[in-house]
Amino acid sequence: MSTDETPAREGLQRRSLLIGAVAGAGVTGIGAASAVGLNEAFGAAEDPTADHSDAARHGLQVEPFHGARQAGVATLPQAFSAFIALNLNQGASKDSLRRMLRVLSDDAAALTQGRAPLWDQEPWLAENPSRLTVTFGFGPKAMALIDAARAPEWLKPLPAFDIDQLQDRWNQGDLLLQLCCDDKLTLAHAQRVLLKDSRSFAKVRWIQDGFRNTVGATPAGQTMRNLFGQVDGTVNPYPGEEDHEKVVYGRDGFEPWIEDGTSLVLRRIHMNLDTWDEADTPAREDSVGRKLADGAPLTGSQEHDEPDFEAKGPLGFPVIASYSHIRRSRTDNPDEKIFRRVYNYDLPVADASGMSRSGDISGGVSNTGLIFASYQSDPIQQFVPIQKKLDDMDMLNTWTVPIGSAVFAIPPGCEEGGFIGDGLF
Amino acid sequence: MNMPIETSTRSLPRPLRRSVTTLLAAGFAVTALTGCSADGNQASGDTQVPAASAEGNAATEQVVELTDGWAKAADSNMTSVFGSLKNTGDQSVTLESIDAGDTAGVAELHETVMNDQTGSTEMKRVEGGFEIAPGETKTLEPGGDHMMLMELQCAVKSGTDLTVELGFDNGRTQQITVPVRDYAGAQEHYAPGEEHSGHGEHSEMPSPESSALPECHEH
Ligand code: HEM
Ligand SMILES: [Cu+2]
Repeated sequence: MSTDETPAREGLQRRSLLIGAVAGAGVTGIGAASAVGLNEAFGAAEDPTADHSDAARHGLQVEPFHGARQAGVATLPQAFSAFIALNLNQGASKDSLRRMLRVLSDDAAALTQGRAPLWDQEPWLAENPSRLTVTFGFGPKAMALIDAARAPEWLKPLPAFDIDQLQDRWNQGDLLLQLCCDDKLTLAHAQRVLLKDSRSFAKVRWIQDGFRNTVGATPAGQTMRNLFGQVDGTVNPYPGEEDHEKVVYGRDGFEPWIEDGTSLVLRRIHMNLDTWDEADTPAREDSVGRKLADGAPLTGSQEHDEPDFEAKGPLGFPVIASYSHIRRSRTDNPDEKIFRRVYNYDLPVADASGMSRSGDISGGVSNTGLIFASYQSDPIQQFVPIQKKLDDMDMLNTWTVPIGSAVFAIPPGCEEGGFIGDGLF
Repeated sequence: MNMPIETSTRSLPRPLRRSVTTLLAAGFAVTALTGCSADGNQASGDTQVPAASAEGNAATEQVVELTDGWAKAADSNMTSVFGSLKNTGDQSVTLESIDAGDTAGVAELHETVMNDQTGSTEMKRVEGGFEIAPGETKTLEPGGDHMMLMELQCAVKSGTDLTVELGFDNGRTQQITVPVRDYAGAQEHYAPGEEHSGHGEHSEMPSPESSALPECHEH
């Protein structure tokens, strides 16, 4: 399959710029510079005019930091992510939070553009921004400090679901820093700088590292696979698709909590690879309603074919089972849609052996799952109904267990000289 | 990053002083006004005077051009200010002193030198200041020459702006405003004067709870 031609892909690419191009271009040049898309940057072999010089290397690609919206949501997903939840110190005040956000915004702005802050003691590690983005999210405590009256009503823990086995260590924090980057070393450095900045204001609650394929490992535009081997992300309101704006930033019945703001529901979902191994291909495909080889619906032949939920097999049963993940996660209510931007996790294990059983969230030889990042204008109206349906019935639950849950309000972006959240202070 | 440089406006009432900003870097004006300096005003509750209203008061010129200015956060004791000072004029100038107003009891120019006896680096006061030839830039940085604030009277917090006044040989003064950041380095031992020798031990990161002194007001 190829999504190269779809508007979605162009939408995702549009924001990506090359450092050199930006430096020389000035504000008016950005439109031209952004024509340098990922394919060119990858040095696509078929294109004889492609720029193979060092200046075009992927490490120099930058995503804008300043603007009406924060980067890291509509941005073409980078290879690596670190979702960091911070807990503000006891004595935190509106003023200390303002100072903290100013410091973090300044340094995030510099690092994403390939510049080291003056107080960066390893400035060389900032030289290859590799599309680094830093996205800020506010938890309930941060919003209460900033302006309780403007805290969205949904900014609280999700309702409990029967399938949940939440571990408090992965639950809600006060402030989220979502770092995404195509280079792990650059990401680690940026994380270090921002955590040093945060140290006198907050402590780290958790860090969730995630990954997808690295740049160039898979054909550009190919939908990612998760560690079950499934093509994951086929049906999703991508930027450029008509419902993206409504789903993520609200309109037509969704009142955004703030113009150009959105929300993140972050679910940490354990995937039991041991019991998944016990399922053979037909059972695996039946559980989702799609083929493993190419992600095509069981009623179609290509990934992006529309699934036919009415089609019946020889015995009169639906080809796409009523308990399958795609049947259950698609509701009849057009408002119940989310934008997924997920990452895999696979933690090192030690002294591991044997098999874990269904429902277990430890044991076996792997500690694997999905950092299920879902963006939507209103989690209660959009995310919760889907999760509720999956809670009631979803064959995929046989192998998956939510172990962490957090909700963050994602404020708009900021202009140069401002800081993230400044419009709320 | 270029920092706004404030020329001497000592004759002005206090709240007006920091607002009289001479912006040096072309294109920096908007950023500076909405950035660090405006931010500082928010924190201190100062009323901001629009730059335009200060234009008539441009009698004093800036002496040096500051870039990359910043200061290390500290809850007590002492801290340092860094940056690059370029002499854009055609006469040599000497930076002789600094004045941190209410922020610090003592403010000095320091250099970092090797102690032959101990083999470790120490900082000590520079007699005679730093002479900057025309076109030259004096760099003040951690581990090197720096501006030192001692006997802090208030906690210098990360995310605030710090304003100090530079004093030059020809009697001119210039205010600079720099962002304050947490920084674990810049811990060279202070050599002379027992009373200031706590610098090396000051390794605790500042935090809202550990702060004994009141927070400095940004002015
Ligand atoms: C480890 C957990 C999960 C795995 C492995 C998983 C896997 C998949 C796969 C393979 C697909 C089909 C391809 C695609 O369209 O992307 C899919 C679709 C989808 N999933 Fe999940 N998923 C998980 C959890 C969730 C959760 C928690 C939600 C929401 C609460 C969700 C919502 C959706 C939606 C909305 C679709 C698209 C359905 C449609 O075709 O309209 N998934 N998922
Ligand atoms: Cu010193």
